[in-house]
Amino acid sequence: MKLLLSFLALSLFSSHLLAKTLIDNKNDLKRLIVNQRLTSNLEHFYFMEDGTLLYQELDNENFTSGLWFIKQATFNYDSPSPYQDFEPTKQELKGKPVICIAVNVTSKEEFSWLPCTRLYQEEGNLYLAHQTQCNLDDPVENEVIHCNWTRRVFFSYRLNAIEE
Amino acid sequence: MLKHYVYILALILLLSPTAPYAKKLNLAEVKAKLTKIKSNSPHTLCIKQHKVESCVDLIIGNDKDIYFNEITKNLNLQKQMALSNYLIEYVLKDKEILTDERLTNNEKNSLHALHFERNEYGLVERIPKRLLDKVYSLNLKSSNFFKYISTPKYHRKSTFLIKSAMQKDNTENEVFGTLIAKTYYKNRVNNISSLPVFFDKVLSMCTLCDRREYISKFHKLPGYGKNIVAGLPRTSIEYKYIFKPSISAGWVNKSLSNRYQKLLVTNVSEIPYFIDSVLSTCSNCDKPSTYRNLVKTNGFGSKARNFFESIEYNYVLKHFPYHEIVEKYFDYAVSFESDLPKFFNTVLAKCQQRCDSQAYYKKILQLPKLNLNLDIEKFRNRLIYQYVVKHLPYNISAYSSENTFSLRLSAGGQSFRTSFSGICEYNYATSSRDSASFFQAMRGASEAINHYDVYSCKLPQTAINRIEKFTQVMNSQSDFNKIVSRTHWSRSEFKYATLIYPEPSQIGTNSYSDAPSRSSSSTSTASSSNTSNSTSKSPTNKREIKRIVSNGRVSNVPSFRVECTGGSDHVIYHKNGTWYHGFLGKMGNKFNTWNKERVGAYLCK
Repeated sequence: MKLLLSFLALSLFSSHLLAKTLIDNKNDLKRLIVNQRLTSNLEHFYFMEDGTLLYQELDNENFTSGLWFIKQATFNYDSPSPYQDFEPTKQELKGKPVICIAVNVTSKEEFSWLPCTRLYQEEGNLYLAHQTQCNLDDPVENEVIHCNWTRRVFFSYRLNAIEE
Repeated sequence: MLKHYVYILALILLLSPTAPYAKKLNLAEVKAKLTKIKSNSPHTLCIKQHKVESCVDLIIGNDKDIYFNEITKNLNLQKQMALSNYLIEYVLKDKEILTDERLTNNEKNSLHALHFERNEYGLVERIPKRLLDKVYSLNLKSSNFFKYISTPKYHRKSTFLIKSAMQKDNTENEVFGTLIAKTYYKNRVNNISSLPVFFDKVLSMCTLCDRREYISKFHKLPGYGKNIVAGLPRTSIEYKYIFKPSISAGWVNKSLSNRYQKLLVTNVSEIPYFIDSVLSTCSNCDKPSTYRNLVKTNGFGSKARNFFESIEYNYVLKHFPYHEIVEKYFDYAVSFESDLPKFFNTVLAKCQQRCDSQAYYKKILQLPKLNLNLDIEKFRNRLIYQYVVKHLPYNISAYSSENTFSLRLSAGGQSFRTSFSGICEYNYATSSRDSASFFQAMRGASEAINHYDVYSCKLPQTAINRIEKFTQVMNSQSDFNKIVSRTHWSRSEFKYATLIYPEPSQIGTNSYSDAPSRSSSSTSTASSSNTSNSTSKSPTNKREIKRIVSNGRVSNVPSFRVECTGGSDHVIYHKNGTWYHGFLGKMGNKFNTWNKERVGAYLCK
């Protein structure tokens, strides 16, 4: 009985105790999301292996196409994280890979600023997305782009395979 | 009871989905959706099928700047404006924005403000920054995130940002001014000539922009400092848009001051403004060093004869140690003898031991405009004597040349001179045997006998009397004794030359016999040798001794002057067993046993 109680207690609180792990390798991140869908209760993102994206709004079943790609980026912020339990380390802010998303476009050449997301694994297929806006025009050095938005957005997603 | 709760809780935990409910699509469905979307996408419908509704969707969505331009580039102006107005209405009807109670009135008003600005193409693009920030911070779903947060994100953003930058409401901070300014600067400000528009139309309307940061990098722009008009440096772009705003804002520091001085202090008249407006407001400037650098300003000191009223003194030099001020006073205000009283009486007098008077005496004597004529009746009253010469050791000396007797007063490495005409009378004629001159050699001569008239000269007694009086006045009586000894001198005047030609057999070998054949060549004194054609060659023109007379002692032995019938004469003497010629030197061993008549006959032949 005591064992069962311990297991339940662990199950209840483990998500808060586990550290969040940044997917900090470009290839790992790519392997992780290709042919996968990133889902929340509001929306689904389908990452196709050819770089196309299907964006699904769940409240009205709208589908939109777009592009996804991975860049290395440095995040610059001027205020503490609004997300109480989580503050990215300085190392994590610098040069780590991000997934950038564009909808209703057909070419990467068409934009310079885009929303980009960095994924932290919380537990299993539960991920915390750290979103910001990045400038794709001006690589800082070694093709690392610059993300500079004074506010931050964190959102939780599940990552699942697109079923055949 | 507790056990039941535990089981129920465990059951809930195990059965509850880890993710919210979502309709899943399989791979085939995703691909089918993508294919369908692509064929029916607003992009395809708008661009390829020209459906206006789809274009509006695109414009209002993520890609508005791309599509707006793409769609409208083929429309006439009237249709472009109609489309703009339609889009404005579309935005205003977006209830999700306008009915959001979390927006401030100001933000809603900003959206409405778009409605009143219908006259310009592209105005719909100007969505207020604070509105965007608000939408972003509300954690709206990602579709809205994409929709509203994405501005500006495209290459063509610079065009509309530039348009936006010039809108009046930038001053109300409702358009993303800092981003506009940054984008405009990056895309448009590529030369110093771009600054006026950027500064007046963009930066001045951006109240949140860090003007100081922008201004601090303007000097790195191409063209900086290339078009400064030296006479009017403050009409330049650099002054108006870099230095003037910095001065007005109180941002003067050492770096800016140095740059200002280097670029805009192009002439002395710019120094007062620089000192009053730049240097005096600079807290960390090295002022002593700056003053010293200002001395290098173009034209510094050239118009400072009124030294103590000059810009040079009142703005720069007055900060220097006094002995340096004296130096500069001398350099800028002492040019003429008439400048000496003020310099010595009012400037140098206050310097005392720190100034070297002796050095100034010598410098004054080297002034280029100093009158060096020696008026022996007035010299003692001249300022140069009163202030300089009398404080230095000096001497008076004389020398003669041709008809002229020169008197010289020397002091401190400089000489004052005057001259007198001598009285010359003919005394005797003489000649000398010399190597042929250049032009004589061109006519084939190897040597020439040059004939001179010798005159005896002397200084008139009246001049001697004046000089004596001058040396008395100058307390240089000892110099007078030497001067008097030189008041008699002789001068010779060239009359004509007799050319001597080498033996024909030896012309080719370029070696001459001891007894060259000769011909008379008489060249008048008045005629130059290269214009004379009076030379006559006569190998048979024999001459003899006219007479041999005693010529006094030479080198402690008796000498003789041999006068020839042709007019030439030779001085010869016999010493240490050999004959010497007055001009030719040792004549050769074959003459050793000859008497003076045979030697004379040889020379006259």
